[in-house]
This record gives sequence, structure tokens and C-alpha cells, in this order.
Amino acid sequence: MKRRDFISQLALIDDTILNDLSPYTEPLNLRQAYHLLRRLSFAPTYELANQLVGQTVSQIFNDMFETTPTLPSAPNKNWVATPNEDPLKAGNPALRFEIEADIKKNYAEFIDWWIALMKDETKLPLREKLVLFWSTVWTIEFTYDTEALIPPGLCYKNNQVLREYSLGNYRDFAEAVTLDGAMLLYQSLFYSNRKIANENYMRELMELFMMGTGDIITGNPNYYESDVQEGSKALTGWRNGAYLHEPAPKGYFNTYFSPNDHIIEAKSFLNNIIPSRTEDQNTEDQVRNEEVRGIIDIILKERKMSVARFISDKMYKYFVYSEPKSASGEVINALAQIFADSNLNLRTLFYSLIASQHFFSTDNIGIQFKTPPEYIIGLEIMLGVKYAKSRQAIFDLEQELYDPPNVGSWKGYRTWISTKTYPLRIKYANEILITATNQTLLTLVKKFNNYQNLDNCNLNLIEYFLPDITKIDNERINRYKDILANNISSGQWGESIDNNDSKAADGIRNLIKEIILSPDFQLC
Amino acid sequence: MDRRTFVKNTSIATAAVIAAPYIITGEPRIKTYSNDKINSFEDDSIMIILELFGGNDGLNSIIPAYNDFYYTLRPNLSYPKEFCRQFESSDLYFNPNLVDGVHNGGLLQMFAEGKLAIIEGIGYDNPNLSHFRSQDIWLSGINNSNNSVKLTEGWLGRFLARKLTGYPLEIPEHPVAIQLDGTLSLLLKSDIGDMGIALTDPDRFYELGSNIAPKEPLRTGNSKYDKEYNFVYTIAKQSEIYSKAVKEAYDKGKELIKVNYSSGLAQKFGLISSLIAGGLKTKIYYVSLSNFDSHAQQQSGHYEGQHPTLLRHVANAISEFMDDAIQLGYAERIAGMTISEFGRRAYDNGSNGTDHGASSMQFVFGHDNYVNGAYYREQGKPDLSDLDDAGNIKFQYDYRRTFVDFLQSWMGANDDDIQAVFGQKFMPIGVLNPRAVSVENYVDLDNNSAIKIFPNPSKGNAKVEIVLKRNAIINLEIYNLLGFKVIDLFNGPIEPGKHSFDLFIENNGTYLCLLTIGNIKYSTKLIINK
Repeated sequence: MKRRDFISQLALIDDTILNDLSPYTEPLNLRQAYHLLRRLSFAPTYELANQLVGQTVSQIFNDMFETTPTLPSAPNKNWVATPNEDPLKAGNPALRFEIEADIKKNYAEFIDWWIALMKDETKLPLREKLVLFWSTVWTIEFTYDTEALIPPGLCYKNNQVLREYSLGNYRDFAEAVTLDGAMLLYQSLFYSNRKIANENYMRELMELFMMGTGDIITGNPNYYESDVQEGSKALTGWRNGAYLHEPAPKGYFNTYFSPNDHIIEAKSFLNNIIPSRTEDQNTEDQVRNEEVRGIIDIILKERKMSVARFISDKMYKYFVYSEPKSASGEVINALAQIFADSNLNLRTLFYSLIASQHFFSTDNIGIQFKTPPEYIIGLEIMLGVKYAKSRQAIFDLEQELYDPPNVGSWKGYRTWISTKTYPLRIKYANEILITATNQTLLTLVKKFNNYQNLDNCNLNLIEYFLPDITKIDNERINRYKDILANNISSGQWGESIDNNDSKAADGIRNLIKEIILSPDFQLC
Repeated sequence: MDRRTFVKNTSIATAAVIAAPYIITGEPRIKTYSNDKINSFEDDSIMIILELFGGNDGLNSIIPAYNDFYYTLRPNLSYPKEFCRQFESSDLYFNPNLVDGVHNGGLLQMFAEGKLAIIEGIGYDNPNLSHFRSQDIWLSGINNSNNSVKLTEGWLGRFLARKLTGYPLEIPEHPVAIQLDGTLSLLLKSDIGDMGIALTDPDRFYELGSNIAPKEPLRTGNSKYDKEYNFVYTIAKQSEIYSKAVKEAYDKGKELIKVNYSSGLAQKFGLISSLIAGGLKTKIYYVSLSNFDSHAQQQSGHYEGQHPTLLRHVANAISEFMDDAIQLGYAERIAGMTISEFGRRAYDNGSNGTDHGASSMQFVFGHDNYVNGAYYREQGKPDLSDLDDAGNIKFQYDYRRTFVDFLQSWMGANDDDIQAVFGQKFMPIGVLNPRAVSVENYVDLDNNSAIKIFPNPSKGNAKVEIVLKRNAIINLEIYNLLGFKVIDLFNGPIEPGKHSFDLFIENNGTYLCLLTIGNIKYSTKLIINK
């Protein structure tokens, strides 16, 4: 097949940026299926992309994302249910280091468990990319200050909360994470008591997790310092059975209410009054309903559009384009209106975004930087290999899962590519490629239609590994073809592949090596 | 960059780089030029920025131990007067962790020697108590709390973008700025690209950096795809070029450094010292230390724990680095400052911590010839009885005033630069004096000659003598009149005193003996007549 024909077969609906969110209702072609999978999972496989081809987004959405997510089973490890002792109370440094070493080992096991789930996403339904997204919004830092570590059992529970609510209602999501044990520790609510309301969480709940200091479009301030101070009082009294030999009335790692630590006076928050309560009314259910959910409901009542814009913008940046000024107010406003009208149903928001013409606009193809998990796990998925050091690689590329640099998360966008991480990206990609045997590479190529044709084989490989073949000029296509051919003539190519000729396998390997060095390999 | 500018740059660069061996087409590629050619960067001054992220507790760094109100506001988190380290009999009290057990007596000793300034009440109007917005305000140099305004360029990023006019098609051969970190922060970002590089390990950088530059040319379009593609391209190319330059300097410099640096933060300063000693022409080094966000467990037991540990790291890093700089002879080139997005609340929060505050204090360090070592504050400040509505100390000095000191006195910025970088003019605090360096600062001039050669004229053998007044890194070379180097007499750090070097030149002729110290060059003629 000639390149021109190949491209036209892949051509997209339009060449302009559509700022409206009208649904894209045509059946997907291969290029669109690749685009969808690059954004919604870690990378496409040829099989899965072809499974989507010919269907519309509305037809496949429910297969891609379950309405009620099935939660994966817990890692079969002790630390899931049984905490360590609090290392800070160990008494002597030697014992403390021993406990901490154990906690760090368990944390690595937790991350490996999660990474394994990501690697398994080569079939429907999908979920883990959304979990990863939410872990960059509702951040938890495993090494949360110079002194302390979040118990891995709590990190695991938090991870399941993100999964459970990933496409749920945002109000319920906010309530669940607010009382999540990892968050209680991380954001100091653990330390709030009747005398002192720690402001740490209340501030970040509004600033980072719900709406921003001011509305992201209008710039109007969303709250004042007094709201931080007053709101903090409503969130006092919550504890978690996070350590061995410490109180855990509801079982280890479960959050419980400590009435004596809750401030019962009235609070004035965003111009609403949460009334004072008597000691009789100071019960877990009542405080949870009227104050924890109460705070969230007041935010949603007073600042619904700010919340809707803030979350829509985060989702847009993660799934469409992460440049800070990328989304126009028009797009974000339109998304936010849909989200607000659905009463903050994330499923509605997400669907509206990825089923839109805007999402499939040629302008928005291949412009996202692959995050470290997308880069590492994505290549493993595309090659069909398992790399033993994925966790170390992802961390080395500056995304330490469950341990961002601070509560404000990773900065994303261009910060993923630096003079430190770029050379490492090349190194790790080559290491992953080494794990692919000749047989693996030949098997991969044999999946392509008409793989026996050298040109077609070349174009298919480029289309598979790089995000936008239409941006690649003929000179480069031909250079790639020469590398792939590895001195096998066009006429002999099909036979070489069918005979599992190592010279053909070397050609495929050399081409992938070359593709790894091209700037667009960093994009998706 | 708009499309027109990009296209314009493109056409300039294309012509210049045709000779590159890997060229496939005539499309634009990246080439390098000497750092000395950057306007106003001829001078060899170096600026260090140490960020204390999370909001450093200024009140527990420089402690108002003379003020009873401090003890009222902080029943759980104060330092008793007798634990603080007082400067002479003044009302300047250091946190003991900045002094005790710290290299060379720590920051108190540096202050006593005039190498440290303390600016009390640094901050800005309408303080923003969000870490991230406030950090963006500090790093961008724009005080705008409106969340709908995205701050996407750092003040140094903007300044450097004015200097690197041909970027990204032409880049200096050494990075102009280095952040000792895995990613590049807003401070060094500009709308035309990253104005510095991220570096953690020179050996690994070198090992991984060769042969990774893309083979294709830069793209000439202006779509989102083109912009991101070119961004990656530029980083890839810089990785390849700078991994060699950095390694070369590091290998040379790591053998020269004199101080055995402590673990943690100080190690990063040891790396900076190696790079400087090894001759890297980088103007700006940026280091960040996190975990200052002490909402809980700020300290424990006998003034130990999180915040004290962090302060010790800071004091050790600065003290060890400046000691090394003096021993290696480059101290006069250094000026550094700490920054932190805010201080802490004046009163403690009862969780053995402090919540987000507003104004704080700042350290400026360097050589006593150029840093005006003093305690900068207005009388009666910080005033703990006059807090703002949120319970925070009010600011006295806009944070950009220190930046202007550094840009003007240390980076050669003019008024137009200041206006362009901040959108307005600010008066410097006056904490830095510009360097007026000349050979006379370093070398004894005997009969108006820095270099003595005898005999001169000579029959081939001669002796070159210089007398140094202070530690310096020097280059002493002999050139012929065609400009070719004939002899390398000496290259490296050298101690004060008289030094002589023997030379022998085979061919008759006139030669130049060239002495280079920093950016200053001095030459004397030498005639060989057999």
C-alpha cells in the first residue's frame, strides 16, 4: 500500500480545533482507536485497538468503563490487614529503623501490586489510568515529612477508594477521601482535637482537591482565611487505627470518631452556620453527616460552578492536553456545565469529554507527554513483554507513585522531560526492548494486516509506536523503511518474516530502537 | 515565540549549521556558542538560590528571644533565650541549630565575619497562604493571587530568555543555569523553553547522554504538536551537549574541592563546588529543600526533630560551601540567597506545629567584599503585637527587592531588564555590591606588571613569576603571535604568595604570556632571540 492511501485510510474527521463538545458519533477507525487507548489506558495493543474499530464511542463506553467498578483483590500480604508499630514510638533508633525498613518493603510491594494491575490493562474494562489520574489529584505522600511514613495498608485502602469512586459522584468521593486513613495522617487531621483544629487538610481540600483558591475562570476568590480556620473545626475528631497496639475500635486501618476530640461549638463557613451541638449529638453518624458531609455540601452549594470548572479542567489537562493555558474558557465552561447539571457525576463528565469531536480533533493528537507509567508500562504493553524493574524505572523518571514531591502533586506537562529524565527514558526504553525476544518481535509484526508487504509493515509499526504518523515526512518514513528492511529486499520481506528470519527480527528491533530516539516517542 | 519569529530564527540558523555531519536535510538544527558571548555575562559571577519549600518558620530561625510576646504566642514551640545563640550583646538570636555543631561555627560565625545578611520581614502585599500560589508568586516574580491568571514563567526564566536570544536554535556551550533536581521548576521556565537544566548525577548524565540526540530536524510549524515535539528535541539535544560539558568540569573539579561535605543537602553544594572549580561557566545554581511545611511535629524533645534538622542541613550546606569557595579562591564570585514561599503563623497550632504564615526572613550569603552583611529590618520589627487578620507577621520588604539586588549587581541586568522581568521597577535592598574586579585585586603589580619574565629577551629558557594576593583559580599560558597556544604553564587553583614557572621555547619570535583569572586577562610580551 502506498503511504498516501494508508494515511487517507487513517484520516480524521477534521483539521480544526473544535471548541464545542458536540459528540463524535462516527465509528472509530484504527487511528482513533489508538488515540483513545493511548489516552485512556497506558498504550494500545493492536488487538484491542482493532476490537474498538468500527464502533462508536457511545457503543463501547460501557464496555470500557464498568458502571460499578469491580475492585481487584487485595495483595496477599500481611500488611494489608495488620499494621506495624508506630516507628516514632519505638523507643530506640535501632528498633525504629527496623520497623521503617519493614514499612518501606511493604510500600514497594503495594506499588508493585498496583503496577501489575496497570500492566494487565490490555483488555476491557479499563480503570487504572483513572486511578492514576486521581492519585495525582488526591495526593498522598508515603514519606510525608522528614519523620514519618504512611502505613502501606492505608495507601492500599486509599488506592481502592480512588478506584471505587473514579467515575462516581464527586461529593461522595470527597467525603470518602476526607475520612480515608492515609489522608487523615498525611494532612494532619489526625492531630486535630477539641482545643486545636489543624488547618492543613481544610485548606488543601478547598485549594487542591475541590475548587482552587479562586475560580479558575472568573478569578473570584473561593474562600477566605477565616473559612479555612472555621472549616477546620468541623473536621476535628477523626482518628484511624493505623498502628499496632494503638486504639482501633473499628479494626485496624479503619477510621473512627473520637467525640472528645471534636469541637462542638458552632462554625461559620462560607457564610453558612454549622450549629453547635450538645455532647449527646456529638456522635459519629451525626458529625459525619452534618459536619464532614456538611462542609462538602456547603462548598457544593456555594461554589458549585467553581468546583465543576476546577475538576473539569483537571480532567481536561490529564486526558486531552496538559499545557497550563491549553483549554479555552469556552471548553471548560461547557464541560463544567454538563458536570454541574449531572450533580457532579464524574462518569457523565468523563464521557462528555472523551466522546466529543474536540477529543478526536487532529489538533489534539500526539500532544501529551507520556507520564512515567505511560512511558514504561506503555512500552511493555506495546511490545507484549514484562519488565522486572518497572517500579524503579517509573520512580527514576520522577514519578514516585504515592510519593509526589508535595501535596500539590507532580507539576506534569513539560516537567516530565528534563535533562535528567530524558537520557533515562532512552535507557529504560532500550532495556525494555532487550527483554523482547526475536520471536516476540516477529509475532508482534505478524498481527498487522498485510505484514508481508514491507511498506505496509513499516507504516504499521510507525503508526503503532508513534502518536501521529501524518506528521512524519516521507524522508523519515523511507529512512525507517531502510532500517526495517535490514538489507532484505521488498520481494523477500514477507518470506523472511514467515520464516522467522533473525535478520528480519533485527530489522524490527533496529527500527524500534530508532523510533525510541525520536522526540515524538515521548508524546502520546 | 510567535510563528514569524520562529521562522526568522530558523532561516538564520540553517545557514550556520550545514556542516553538521548528521545532517539529513537543510532543516533547522541546534548549534552552540561560547557562554562569554552572552551579553553582560562576560563577568564570572555566580548566583545560588536555595529554596526552603513548605514555608520556613522564620520566627524559629532568627528568634525574637528578647520579646516576651514570642513566648506568649508560642507556648509549645518557643526556644528559651538561653538555648538561642546571640550575636554579641545584640537582639539578634540564631536558632542553635544554625550554629551548634555546624561547620566552622555556622551562620553565626558567617554573620560575625560579614559574610551573611539577614533580611527580616521579606514578603509581599496581600499574602497568599497557598503553598503553590505563593511559591508561584515567589518564583515568577509576579504578585498576583488571581487563580485564573496562570503564572508560567519564572523571573529568572524570563531574564535568561532575554539573554539567550537565539534559543533554541543557538544555545550556549555550558548551561546558563542548573537546578540540582530531577525536574525543572517554574523559576527557570520561560515561554520559549527551559532556561536551565536539571542535574542530579554528572557521571550518570554523561553515561546516558551520548548519542541520544534525535536525527530528525526541528519542526518549523507552530501547532501544539510542533511545539511539544521541539521542546523534547531541545531537551534531547541539550542532554547530549551538556552531559559532556558537565562531566568534564565535574571530573576536574571533584579532585580539587577541599571540604568534606556533610550528607544530605550539603552534598548538592559539594557538587556545585566541583562544577565551579572545574570551570563550568554556569551562572545560576538552584537547589530546593522540602519539608518545611510543619503543621505538626515541628520539633520534638530537646529542640530536635523536623525543623531543627532542616535548619542544620541549611547551615551546614552554606557554611561548608563558602569555606570551600574561599579555599578554592572563587568565593568572591558567589552570592546566594534563601527563599521560601512564606513563613509560619505567629502563634503555634497546638499540634506541635505552625500553620501557613505570611512574611518571613531571608539569608543572603557570599564574600564579605560584596555582601553587605547586616541584619536588615525596620525598627521594632518584626512586631508580634501587630499581626494581620490571619495572625501573621506583616511584611516590610517586597521579595523582589532582593531579586533586583541579584539581577543588577550580580547578573548585569539594566533597568530595561528589571522592567521586563517584573513588569515594574523595584529598588534593591542594597544587600549586594557589584564586583569591580581587576587583576590588581589578585596580583601584586610590581612596576605596573602583573607578570614578570626574566630574562626577557631570552635565548629559550625563561622564568615566569607572579605574586598572588589571595586564593584564585588561574590560567597561565604562552601564545605565539598567530594566536596558537604554545605552552600551558599552569591551570587550576593556587594559593597566595610568589609562584614561578620555568619555560623553554624552541623557535625565535615574539610571544604573549597570558594570565587569566576569572574573566580578567593580563598579558606580557616575551621575546625569544637565540
